Amino acid sequence: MTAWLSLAVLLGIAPLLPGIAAKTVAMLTGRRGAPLFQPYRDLGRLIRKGSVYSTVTTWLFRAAPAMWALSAFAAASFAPLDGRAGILHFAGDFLVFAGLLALGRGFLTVAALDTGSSFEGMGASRELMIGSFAEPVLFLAFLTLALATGGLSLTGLFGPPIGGAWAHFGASVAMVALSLALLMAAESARGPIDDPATHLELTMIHEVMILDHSGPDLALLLYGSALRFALFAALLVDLVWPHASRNAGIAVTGLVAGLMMVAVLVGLAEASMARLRMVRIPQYLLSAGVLAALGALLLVR
Amino acid sequence: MIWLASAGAWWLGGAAAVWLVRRQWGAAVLVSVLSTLAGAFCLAAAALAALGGARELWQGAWMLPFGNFALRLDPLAGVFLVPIALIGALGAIYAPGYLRDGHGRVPSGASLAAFELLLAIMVLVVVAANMVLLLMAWESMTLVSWVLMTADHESREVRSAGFNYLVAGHVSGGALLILFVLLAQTGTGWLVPTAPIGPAAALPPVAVLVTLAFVGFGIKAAIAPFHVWLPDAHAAAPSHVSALMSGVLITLGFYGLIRFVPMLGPLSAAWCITLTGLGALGACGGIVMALSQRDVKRVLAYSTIENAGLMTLAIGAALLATALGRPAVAAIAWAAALLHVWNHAIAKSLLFFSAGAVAKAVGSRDLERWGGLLRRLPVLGTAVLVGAGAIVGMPGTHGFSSEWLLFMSLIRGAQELTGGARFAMLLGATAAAFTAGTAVACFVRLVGVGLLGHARSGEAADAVSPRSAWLVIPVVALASLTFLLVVILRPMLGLLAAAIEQLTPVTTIAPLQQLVAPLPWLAAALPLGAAVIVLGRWLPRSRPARSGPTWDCGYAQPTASMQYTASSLAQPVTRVLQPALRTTVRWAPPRGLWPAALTWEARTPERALAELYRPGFVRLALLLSFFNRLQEGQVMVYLRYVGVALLVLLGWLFLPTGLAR
Repeated sequence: MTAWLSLAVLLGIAPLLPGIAAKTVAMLTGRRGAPLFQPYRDLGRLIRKGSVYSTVTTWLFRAAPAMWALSAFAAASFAPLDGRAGILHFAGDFLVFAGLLALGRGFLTVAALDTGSSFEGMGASRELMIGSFAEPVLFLAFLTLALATGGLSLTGLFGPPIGGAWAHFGASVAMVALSLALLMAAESARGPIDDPATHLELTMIHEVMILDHSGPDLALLLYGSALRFALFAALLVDLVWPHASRNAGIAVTGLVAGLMMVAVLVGLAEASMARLRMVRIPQYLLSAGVLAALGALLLVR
Repeated sequence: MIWLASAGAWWLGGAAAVWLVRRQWGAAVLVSVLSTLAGAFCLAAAALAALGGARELWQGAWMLPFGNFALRLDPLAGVFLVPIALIGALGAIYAPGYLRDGHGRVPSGASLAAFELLLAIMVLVVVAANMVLLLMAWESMTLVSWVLMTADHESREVRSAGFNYLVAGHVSGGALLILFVLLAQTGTGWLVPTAPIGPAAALPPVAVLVTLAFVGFGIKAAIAPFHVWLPDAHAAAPSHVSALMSGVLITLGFYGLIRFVPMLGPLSAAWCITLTGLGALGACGGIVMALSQRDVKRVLAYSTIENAGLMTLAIGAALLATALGRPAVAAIAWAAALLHVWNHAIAKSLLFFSAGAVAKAVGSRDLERWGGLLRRLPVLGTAVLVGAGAIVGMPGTHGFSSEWLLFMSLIRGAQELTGGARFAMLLGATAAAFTAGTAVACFVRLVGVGLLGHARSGEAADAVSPRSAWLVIPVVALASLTFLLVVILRPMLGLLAAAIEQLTPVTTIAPLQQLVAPLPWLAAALPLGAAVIVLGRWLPRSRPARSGPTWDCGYAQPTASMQYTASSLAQPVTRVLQPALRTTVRWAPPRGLWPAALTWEARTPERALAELYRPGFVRLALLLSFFNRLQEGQVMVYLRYVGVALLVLLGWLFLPTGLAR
């Protein structure tokens, strides 16, 4: 029950997180910034609009926004959002989770290349590079947790056993948490990997891939990205702040508070440092991977 | 055995008949397709019987002094017969359309005959139970596939690729010859061993035997670093031959490895870890090389090396888990390896069939000359897309299930084992994860640059769908299998059950069946996704959709040459891996006030070939050049050699026995 409720809350609250992050950045940089609920307004406005499709594009371009949002939604159903169990869980479901995220990324980049635009090709190129180096980091994080908790599903890795893992293998779990936090920025196109507020196409990654999408398609893409961000944030909350409770109110409040905290921290990071140069991104992901690998190595005995 | 014999009869007879009518194209096609289909049907029946658990050993006298002529059909053989039947049949349907299209001249039926002969020989490799027979089949397989591969022998590249292939094939055959002769010393005779051989006094240490098996079978299986023959060979061969070689022929190397390595005595963990490491190396190296190639068929060829790496990884993990007494983990790893053999055969043949037909329609295999082809060739383009999804292992395609099993075996292994074995499992899983992520990049590049966007050349802009139905039937059949096999995952594992039980001490695969039970539901992803897409299109919208040019940041006339190229798309990854890849760039920078032409070209050569094997073979040739002096070319000299040899032998014969020994 709490699992369904948490999923509904995640789906509802997802667009708020970029709003919180943006507001944090604005406040820290001495601006008033857009209202907190601006992302919802944007989504509503886009849904009411019509779409323009390039004559170069194929059905893949039209399918990509739905697949992007749907893959994130399907992945969310495996995550133990309430800290106890995902709606779906079985041994090996974290591989399905990773596969679904890769599927979304595949559709998004293919759609970007479908337009034949040089800018979108550039974005796709960068996104694919991130995917190539982020995938092993994600797996290393999962592997380390699998060793620490003995679980084989997201529910086992991020659910109640995590408390025991903190007690016995605290150092490893802490390294995984840090690694996942670094990974979250890369997977959900936040700073310092990507700059969601930039207006120069040459410096964008995610934004430049969706230049050609418009109307409801763009709304789906924006919503899917917010959901991905929320999903990684939720995993991080599960890991750092085990909030499992039989009381639905406590569990959901824990989730919401945790997500907002993560959004504020992301805003803090974005306000305090500039976006990394592109050549630094592999090094950034490598250090995230090394952290997770160290966590795993501590468990090799 | 009767089904097996009829399959052999259909294919050998078919090959002979096609050879007889090779000048009449129509008749050759008819005979070839009908006899191949009949043979494939018989072989499928034989394979299914074997997978059901039937074990048969058939022996008969032959003229050679090495034991009996012996054939064996057991579950493990059945696993490897299935792809031969399936891809063989579809390849035979595909071949007439592929060979006919394009040049306009009527091709010879000889190639069809050789294709059918190769199928028969591959079956013989799998069922041969006498090691000499196996060696003969192995060598014939090399020779016949070489004939097929060098169909375009007017081209210098094809000849050079063929030469490399022959050399690699013979090194493989040589290693196996030594291995088999040594094995025959154990007293079990020339039969392929089916139980681990004991520590016999006549045998060299296990290390020697295992090394010989790794080299001999590893060359065919394209295990790194023995893979160097493969990229050139697959690029040079006609597409249906590439599909057969890539999807089926290399797996016979794994068949040999699985058949022989566990029999070579108690395998130490170090050897298993070595195999796991080679697998990780091949998987990572293969996919990174695939990402940096421009030639479509070379991309697919390197992806084969990647998948061979994954299979090696699974086999290494299975052997390691067996050696350390974890049969449950070993069963998962064996299931992953065997299922991956099937999945890879289907996905890779689909890609070679469809991409080969597209290349034929465009007249080039260069990714930079494709583009915009999904619109012009919708069926073939969609097939490439489906094949790409399957080979990458996207959820919803059958490729996901074997990769899922591989990861599960590695993770379960890491959880249950300790020390170095745990480390090896972790390393393997990380390498496989990097491979999976980079494979997405590689195949998004193939689809995105090759099939989408603006046409990148005039030929691509004018490409027309091939009219031949021959090309389309196998492509559509394989593409539908991609989704069907997700639904029937459990029955498929049931088919593999007997083989897995043959390889591991587990008595039932029920836990394995339970493990994969949730996976078939992923098949729902396809209809669900399609429904969402269709709904999204038909949902009423306040304003209708319009068409326009691509938004290129205000520039209204984007052209094909402004698109990101295949090389530039891969550049962020290849630049990071430059120390390993050594991509060489040739470029003429713009000069003067009015620069006219400038060129930029990046190539990623095969380093193992250029830096390891070529210098090695050159040195070997220098070393052996001494023997050139023996070859005088004069009859007198040769007669002298004969005389000297005769005298030496006579002397040896008449010497006192004690001295001679």
